[in-house]
This record gives sequence, C-alpha cells and structure tokens, in this order.
Amino acid sequence: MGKLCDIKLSVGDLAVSLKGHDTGRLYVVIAEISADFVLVCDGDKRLVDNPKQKRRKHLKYLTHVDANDNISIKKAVEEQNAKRR
Amino acid sequence: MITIKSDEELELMRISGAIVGKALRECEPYVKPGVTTLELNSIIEEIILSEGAIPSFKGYGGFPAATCISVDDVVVHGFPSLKVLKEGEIVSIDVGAYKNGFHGDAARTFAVGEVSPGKRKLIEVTKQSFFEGLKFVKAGARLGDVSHAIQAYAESYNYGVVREMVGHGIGRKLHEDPSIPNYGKAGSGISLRKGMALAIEPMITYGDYRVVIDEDGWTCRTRDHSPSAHYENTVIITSNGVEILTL
Repeated sequence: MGKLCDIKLSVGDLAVSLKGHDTGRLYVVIAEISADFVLVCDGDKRLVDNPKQKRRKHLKYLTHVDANDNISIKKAVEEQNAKRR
Repeated sequence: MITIKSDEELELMRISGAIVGKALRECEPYVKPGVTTLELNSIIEEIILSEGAIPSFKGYGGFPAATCISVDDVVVHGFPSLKVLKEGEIVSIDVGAYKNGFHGDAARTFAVGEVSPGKRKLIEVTKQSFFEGLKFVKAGARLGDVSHAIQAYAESYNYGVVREMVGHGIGRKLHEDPSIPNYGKAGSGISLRKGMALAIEPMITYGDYRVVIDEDGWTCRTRDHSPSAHYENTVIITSNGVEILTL
C-alpha cells in the first residue's frame, strides 16, 4: 500500500489552512513563490490582487480546481465548503 | 525511526511475504472480463485468512477492504466495489498480510483480457523499473540511487512518475521509515543497511504524473485520467545482497 507523502502544491490547487488565525479556511493557490511559500486567495476576503502568502507546510492539499479569477475561486471554495459540511 | 530487523525477525517477515506472494499468484487467473473487483477482494481475503494471517489493509487508517484494487486511471488505494472488469482495462491489486507480528506488502498490475499495446508496455516498464531500482538495493548504497534508477528508467519511456505516493519501510508496522520516493537524486538519502525491510513500489502513469485524491479520501487517480500501473514487492537487505519476499 503506497504511503501518501506531502503533496507539492501547484497553481490551481485548493487547500485548507492548517496553521494561523485562518485555520480551517479554504484557499486556492494562485502562484508559487519559493520552495516554502505560495500565494493563495479565496475570492472573498482575499482577492487575486491582494493574495495571502502562506507556507506550503501550513496548507493541506484537497483537490485541484480550474480557477484563476475571484469569481471562479469563490465558487470553487464555496462548493468545497459545502461538501465538507 | 528506521528499524533494523534481526535474523529471527527477517525469518518471520519471509512468512508474511510468502503469503502475500501466494495470494497475488493465485488471484491472477480470476482477473478476467466480467468479474467484479469485490469478488477479487474476497478471493484474496480468503487466501490470506486460510494461511492464518490477517489482511494488513483492512481497517488501516480506516481503509474498508482487505485489498486495494485500482482500475485504469486509479493509481492506488481503489476500493473494491461492484464494478465489473471490462476487456481492455488494467487492474492494480495491492495486498498486505500480517502474521506473527510482521507485515508483507506487494502489488501487481494485471491486464483484463486483451489490452492495447500502450497499456501492455506501461505494465512492463513499471515492472522493469522496480528491478532497475532493485539493482541498487544493497548494504552501503544510498536510497537516492534506488529512487533515481526507477525515475530514470520510467522517464526514458516518457512515462510519468507519481510524486505524491511513495514506497516505505515495513516490519511490525505497515508504513515505517524511510519513505522511498520513486524519483530523486543519485547519491542522496540515507545509507542502506543490512536488516532493513523495504516496500519498493513504482507507480507509473501513461501521461501526466500529477494525481488527485477523490472525496473518499483514499482513491488516488491521475489528474488527466491516463492509465497507471503499480508494481511492488517487499525486499530485505541481507549480508548477501537483497532478497525479494513477495514473489
């Protein structure tokens, strides 16, 4: 049985925050800025022109979505949120 | 923590490994069009129980079945279901058995009836990539050499090497350290030592190497839905080199 290792986040991945005041919040990765950091936004509080910088290890990969603008990101996050409830 | 097994412990691992090998050999004739993956699961579970062992996967982290049965674009961790196998599909069967306190773990990809030449080649290359990696498994070698050999061989055929799923150490626990990626730099990683037991498992895709996990939290499939193959054996490092326990 294969062991799941940490998934390297890439642009378009939907992830949940594991650490910080935003723990549990869902984000979509919009840019990879270094080996440790990515830029994320949720299309609501955090918009594409004002993304949040998060450490990769403070995010857990959930799924991949094709979302790159505020509206589609917000929709993807809301859909995922609905599934999680 | 990487555990080094004594000769007595390795002897017990040989027993678990042999049961897994037997289960996989004996289920192969049943892999044909019209059979459901749940039936294959039952056949394998019966073989494991008849040998006085317990299926390692059942209940592991909440996994519901005795085997992982992954069809076509499912890379690993597919649930056995009422899905009927169709001619032309490829099915990966991953089996684990626990006896005398030790686990054995192995996987094979089988063709269902006649499959396309592309799928057949994928199965062959996946199997061969395991043996390419195995050439570097010996006391004193580095783990990165094994990973690099698997990656170099698979990528020479333009196949993708799954990054998110890795091989693992095995023994009293199903997943022990070290993690064994199927990609990496030669000369890097830990040094291998006599007494280590490893489950080396190349997971190779026909297209993009990226994968997604389904909402069940287990089923891992290729992002572009290209077929993928899996070949795994439990091996131990001895003073004479390497020994495969699950053939």
